[in-house]
Amino acid sequence: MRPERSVIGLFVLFLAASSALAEQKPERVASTHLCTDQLLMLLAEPRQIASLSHFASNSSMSMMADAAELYPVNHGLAEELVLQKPDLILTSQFGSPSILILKSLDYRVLSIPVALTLDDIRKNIMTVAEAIGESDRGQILVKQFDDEINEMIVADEVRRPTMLIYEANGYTTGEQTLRSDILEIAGFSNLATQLGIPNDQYLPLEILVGQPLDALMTASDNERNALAYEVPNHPALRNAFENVPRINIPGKMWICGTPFVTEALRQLVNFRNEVLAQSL
Amino acid sequence: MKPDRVIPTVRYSSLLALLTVLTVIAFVCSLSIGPAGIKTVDMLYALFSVEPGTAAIIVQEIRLPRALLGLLIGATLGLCGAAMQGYVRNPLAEPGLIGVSASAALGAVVTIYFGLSAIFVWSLPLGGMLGAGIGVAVMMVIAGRKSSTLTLILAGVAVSTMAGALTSLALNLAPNPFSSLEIVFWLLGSLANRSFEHFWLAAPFMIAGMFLVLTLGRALDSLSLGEDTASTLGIDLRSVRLKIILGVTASVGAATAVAGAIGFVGLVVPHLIRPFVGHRPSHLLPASALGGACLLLFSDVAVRILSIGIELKLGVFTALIGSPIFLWLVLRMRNQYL
Repeated sequence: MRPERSVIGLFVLFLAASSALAEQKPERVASTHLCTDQLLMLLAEPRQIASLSHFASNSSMSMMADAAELYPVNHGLAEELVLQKPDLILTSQFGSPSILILKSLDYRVLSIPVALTLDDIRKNIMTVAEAIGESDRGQILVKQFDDEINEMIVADEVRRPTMLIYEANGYTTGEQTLRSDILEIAGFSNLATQLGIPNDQYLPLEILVGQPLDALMTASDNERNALAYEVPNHPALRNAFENVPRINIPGKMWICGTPFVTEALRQLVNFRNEVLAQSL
Repeated sequence: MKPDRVIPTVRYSSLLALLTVLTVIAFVCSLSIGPAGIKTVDMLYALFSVEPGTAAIIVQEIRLPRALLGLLIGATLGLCGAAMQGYVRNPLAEPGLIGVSASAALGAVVTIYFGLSAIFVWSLPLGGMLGAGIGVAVMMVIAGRKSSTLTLILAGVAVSTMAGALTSLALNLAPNPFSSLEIVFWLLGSLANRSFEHFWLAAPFMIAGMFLVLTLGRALDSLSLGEDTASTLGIDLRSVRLKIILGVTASVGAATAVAGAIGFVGLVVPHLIRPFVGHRPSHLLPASALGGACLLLFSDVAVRILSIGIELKLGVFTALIGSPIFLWLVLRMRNQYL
């Protein structure tokens, strides 16, 4: 074999390999988790989306419920996912049994970790963007996200009103959670982290009513259609924190690590200004 | 039936006194124990304090309604168990076992999860009572007065299973992410985080229902001699039947609507007390009410002590106490009837 031919051969091989890489851009992406549903809608071309989880179109949980109506639905069941012939399946780090089945059938599955900080959101955006061959869109989205956050940077870092999230079933949100990170960035001090409470944990009403609080976040008064809401609506809580300003941020804004958390951050920053103005 | 042993009245009144003292102790324990450690002395001070301090809020608004509900619901269940056992002359008749509690829970679930109780608060106890009423009515139609223990229990299993399945279905269909998790509350019952709102919704019906049932003491005494004898003694059987149905419906329906279906209290308490009152329903009723209150209050204190993090459900504890007694009853009945 002449050397020129081998060089040409290598070049051909390289071309083939790079076109194979380009071809790897998935054509049919299925998502089985509310959070990856929304990242996928933000980043993918519509024709790339094979299906979204049924939560994506639930307007009480999803920020993109209307947009999600346009796409096929899955319920995370192995059978229906196989029929949708995805070449990439996005899911959360908490895989379901059906995801294990799909993995064993050699489907390409990408598990996206739960975002615990704003930085995790940036990482997750890029992970999804790269996996679906839309890195440029990912970078644009991260840039927009950063710009929005930078606009809201809190000037007065010294005075941090103490705040607590107290929600359905008496759960509070402490260390190592996205919502706690957002509270801190908005210029609050989270009572739950002061108390050393990790993750989402039950905080007895009796313990809470004795705590010093400058602000409180609870479920809104009109959410009453489950026993879970009776704890944050307990009269003892109303009386103990009668004059403490309250805010209710819809869970869908920040249960998922998506760029939509900036809306929650904006509301919290405004709320903090009100709280500080009141305490003056 | 065994002939009544002659028991001096002194013994009955001292039994009532003892149960009252135990109930008061249980009530004070219920006010004293909780995640926020408050000494009993401070608790008593906070209970009567008019200033809105932290301890006062904890005792007056968190622990007091809970203790009062425990008192009334325990009394309701103990009393209704005793009355039903006396009326159908069947040792296994009890709101939990025969499905009244389960159908009351179904009624309450429908009003909460489909938004009715948010619009009209009284729909909660009314829903519970409607459910309980249907449960009692089905029971009376299927089992009737002269049914065997087996018929009663099988009918009870059928009603409970049906009501439980419909409750699960309703909770699964409810448009709320928490609803399907709350099935545990409705099946096992709990007093955690109940407030005076719940107390005022349920107490009037529980008290009215209990009052109605308590008036039946003499009628049930006569009934223990047989229906014909009771009639000749001037007992209006239809009115007794109606009062039992209304009393159980109102009190168990309202109790279940705010605390879920708490099992076994109505079964266990009358059996524990019966040997001390000489099998006289008129004595058994008040004593069972006190005994039920005492048992439920102590159980509610126990779940608070045993729990780490989220509380154990009350029904877990009452079932742990109740099911061995249930088994013992079954064994004893096997020797008697089979």
